[in-house]
Amino acid sequence: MTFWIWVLLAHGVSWKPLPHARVFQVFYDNGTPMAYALVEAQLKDSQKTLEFEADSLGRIFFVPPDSGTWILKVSDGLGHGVVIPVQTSGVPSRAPNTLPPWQKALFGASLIWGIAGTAFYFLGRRRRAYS
Amino acid sequence: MTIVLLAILAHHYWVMPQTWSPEVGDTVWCIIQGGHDLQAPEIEISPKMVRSITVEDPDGTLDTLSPDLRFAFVPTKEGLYVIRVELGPRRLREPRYVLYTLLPIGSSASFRVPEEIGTASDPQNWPRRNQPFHLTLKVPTYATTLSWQGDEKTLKGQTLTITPKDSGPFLLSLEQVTPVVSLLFEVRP
Repeated sequence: MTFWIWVLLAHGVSWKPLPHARVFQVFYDNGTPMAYALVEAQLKDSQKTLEFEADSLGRIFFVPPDSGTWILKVSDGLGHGVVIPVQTSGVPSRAPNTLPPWQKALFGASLIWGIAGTAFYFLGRRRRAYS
Repeated sequence: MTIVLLAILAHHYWVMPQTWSPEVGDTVWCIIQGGHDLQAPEIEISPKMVRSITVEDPDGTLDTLSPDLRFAFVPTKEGLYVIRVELGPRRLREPRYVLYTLLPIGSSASFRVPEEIGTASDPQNWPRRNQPFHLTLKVPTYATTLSWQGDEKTLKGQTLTITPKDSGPFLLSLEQVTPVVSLLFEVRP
């Protein structure tokens, strides 16, 4: 048990701000938050859609994966809803590669070693069979 | 940024059976509906908002059905069946709406109200057109009432008197702080 805790603690923890994130709160006119509201985000002039939920206080945390105009359709699933347009720019089109250079090198070397080792193994068996 | 949605209580919800006169052994289909008018449901309800469905037979035996916008059950005996539906996000501790439909099977059903709402003191039989009936509300957070096809609503303490002026389904909404309780039953001519 202790061993596994040590293993968990051996992993580093880091954080970074999300500069393109948007936060909204939706609630009814009597002040009640629209808890766990259903959100459908659609990128304008595109087929890209995302579906997620608000939190228990009706807060919507939206991190657009692409630049453009996103339309957030927020609904409580019971006939109440609102549409929120979100304009974003400068969003990287894909998630950055998080592997550091030394891990990339290690991965490449392991791949070459594995392929070459397999090839030499079968080559050696073939030579022994003919000798 | 804060977004405000207007008119939270402007909508009403109910469970409408396909027929009000099923027989023992019939498959009774029901649909969950919402809108401003009982005769013209207009709200698109997400199936994700259906938390639970239970059907109570005349002996008080509960049957739990799979939560969906449409559901069915088969009554096995005569008497009054109570259909109870909870609406709202499933991650919330309390439902946002509780819907009851009282469905008589055969001719022996008498009028009664689920325990959470109260008891009907008079008349004992099913409500009829132009015949006042009373609901004794047990809910302390009771605020206002709404009804369709009824008049002479008076509120004395926590006893509500309603006189249906038309026959047909009658929807009573009891607006509490939470949840909103709707009661649907048939008024006979």
